[in-house]
This record gives sequence, structure tokens and C-alpha cells, in this order.
Amino acid sequence: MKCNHIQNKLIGFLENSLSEVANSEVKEHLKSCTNCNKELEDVKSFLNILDNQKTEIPSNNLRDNFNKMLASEMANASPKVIPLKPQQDWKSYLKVAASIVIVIGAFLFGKHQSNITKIASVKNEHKEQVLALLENTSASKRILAVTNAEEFTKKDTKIIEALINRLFFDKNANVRSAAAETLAKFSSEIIVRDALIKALETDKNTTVQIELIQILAKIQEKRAIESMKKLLENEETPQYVKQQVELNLPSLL
Amino acid sequence: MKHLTDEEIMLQIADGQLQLLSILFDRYHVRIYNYFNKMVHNKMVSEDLTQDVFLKIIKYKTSYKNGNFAAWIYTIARNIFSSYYQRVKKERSNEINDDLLASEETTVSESKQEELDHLQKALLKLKRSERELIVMHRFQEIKYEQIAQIIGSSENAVKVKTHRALKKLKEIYFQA
Repeated sequence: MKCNHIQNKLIGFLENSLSEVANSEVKEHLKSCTNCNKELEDVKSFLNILDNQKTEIPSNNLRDNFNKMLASEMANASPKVIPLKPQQDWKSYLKVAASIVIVIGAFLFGKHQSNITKIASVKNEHKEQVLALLENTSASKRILAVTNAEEFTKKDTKIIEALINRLFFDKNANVRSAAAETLAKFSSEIIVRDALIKALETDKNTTVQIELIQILAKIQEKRAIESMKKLLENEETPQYVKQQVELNLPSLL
Repeated sequence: MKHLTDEEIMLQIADGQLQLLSILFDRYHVRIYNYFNKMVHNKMVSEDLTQDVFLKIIKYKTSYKNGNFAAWIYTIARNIFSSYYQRVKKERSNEINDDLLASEETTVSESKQEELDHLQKALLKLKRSERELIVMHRFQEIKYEQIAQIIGSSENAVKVKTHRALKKLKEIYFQA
């Protein structure tokens, strides 16, 4: 048992790689044990055989093949380096330029986009505001809305309809005459002309009547002649309204 | 250039100075060849595998991080041997015992010395890991500390395993 333990350490002992304690332990044992001394000689001679192994020299093929391999690797590496460099630079500049263009483009597009919607939304907002104001309980606000309605184009039938509505149904005479005045600007629309004639027939307020007579004469609406003649024939029509008709009727005849 | 250390040269190779590899080839190819030849006992295969090691050095040159060059090149050599071993093992998996892989090749050995032949036979009867330790420590004279670094183990474990493998080899050698 003891011998087995020692024999396991013989290689380390010969290699000088044992700890001091183990080393002296082996030394001490070898002084008295012939068996282990024999084993030590065996191990020593065996290690000698191993150590006498000559390193083999490979054939020349190895160096030749290595040189070929190295040459081809170097050839592969170098042409890649030279033409690639300027190309790479050119490409990277292009990449930078492209990214700048994209950023600026996106910024401008976004700005443009928001401008369009802004304008559109301002216009829309304004229209809604005017339409709302036209229904306001305060007469002065309604007059303001009616005059503001001038800004809109002829095509905006919603505004025109709202104005005609004011012309017929507003309780306040001032609003009605203001509506008439504004509608005169859209006189190319047939519904506007019809509404003005109809209003002249129905409106009992003299201020509005006078306003309508002046407008119809100005826009040369010949279909209004009959309504005007009726006003002249009507006994209830005040004198100053009749005068206004007499003043404007000849321009239509 | 000749006086530079392996590490300094390898860093320059990693930097693109491929021609310097021939200096490292001069310094290492015999050792690497002998490592393979002891492991597989076949000159042709050993030459091919040695060539592979230097090709791999070029391919993986950028992964070299200023460590001990000898340890690095042996790590590459071990990986190459390992994949060679797996490939051959697969090719004749049913014919031979895993760890006696190369023993058949001893018959085609051109060695003239009987002693050498006998030792080589004994060596091929060891397990792959045992054989490798003896090859690296005894034939390549790599220190235990460095072997531990190469195979990823502790110095003490490498020492104990190497001694055990040597003892086993001695028994096989004297038995036959």
C-alpha cells in the first residue's frame, strides 16, 4: 500500500515537480525499499526512451504548400485593399449625403404637410365660426358674421344658404339688409337672385325694401320689375319707398 | 524582424502583414507537425493538418488578442485535430474503437526503429486525452502551466493526469 502510494509519485519525483514534503517522503522510502528502487529505475529508463524520441522533420511538401497558401492569401488580401478604399470612401460620402437629403426632405415634407392642414383647418375653423355666428342671439354679432361671409368664394353654398336664411328669417331688419348687401356679391348664383326677388315681395320692412330695390337695380335683375310695380300699386307702401322704386325702375326697363 | 517575439509578430499579422507568417512558420511548423504525427501517426495527414493550422491563423488573425502565442497556436491545432478525429470516427464508426482510431495506421508506418515503432503502438493504445498530454508535455516540452491554459484546466490537474497517463503508457509498453 505504501509502495503503491510512492510509486505513483515517482514520475513527479524524477521531474522535480513534487512538493518538498512529498519529495522527502519519497526519498526516505527509497532508502529502505528495494522494490520501489527497481520501479524507479524502470520509470527512469522508460522516460529516457520517451525523451530520446527524435522530432521528425516533415517533408519539403509542407513548406512548399505553406508558401503557396501564403502567396494566395496575400494576393487575395491585397487587391481587395487597394481598389476598395476609394470606393468605400465614395460610398460612405454618398451614404452621408443621402441621409442628409432624407432628413431635410422629411423635415420639409412635414412642414409642408402641416402648412396645408393648417391653412385648411384655419379656413374650416373660420367657416364654422361664421356659420355659428350667423345663429348668434346678438344682432350685432350676426351682422358681423354676415359681413365676414363676404370673404368666402361663390362655390361655398353652405355660407350662401345661411345668408339667404338670414335674409328671410332674421328678426332684425338690420341683419336682413346686411345679408342682402352681402348676397349682392354672389349675384352670379341663380339662387341668390331668386332669393333677393322673393325677399322684395315678402319683406315688410322699408329699410330692407329700399336696400333690395337698390341691389336688384344694380345687378340688373329684370325679373324684379313686376315686384317693383306691385310696390308702386300698393297703397300701403310708404312714399319714400315708392320714390326709391321710381328712381331705380327706369334702369331696368 | 527575426528578433521579435511570437506575440509581436502575430499582432502585426493581425494588422495585415501576412508575409510575417513565414517567420512563425519557421518557428512552429516542426513542433506542430510532430504533435499531429504523434497523435495520428500518419505523415501525410500530419502535413495536411499542419498546413490547416497556418491557414486558420490567417483566417482568424483578428481574433488573436495579444495572449500567449504558443497557447493560441496549440488551441488551433487541437481544434483541427478534434474535427479531423470526429470526421474519421464518423467515417468508420462501426469498424474501430473510438480511442484506438489511428492504431491501424501503425502498419503503414515507415519507421525503421523497432523501439520507436513499439512506443508509437503503445501510445496509440492510450485514450486521446491521455495521448495528447504525453505528446504535449513529453515530446513538445510544453510546461504544465501552459498545457493547462491550452486545454482549459488547472496546472495541478494536468500534472496528475499526465503522470497517470505516463504510468499507463509504461505498463502498456512493457507488457507487449
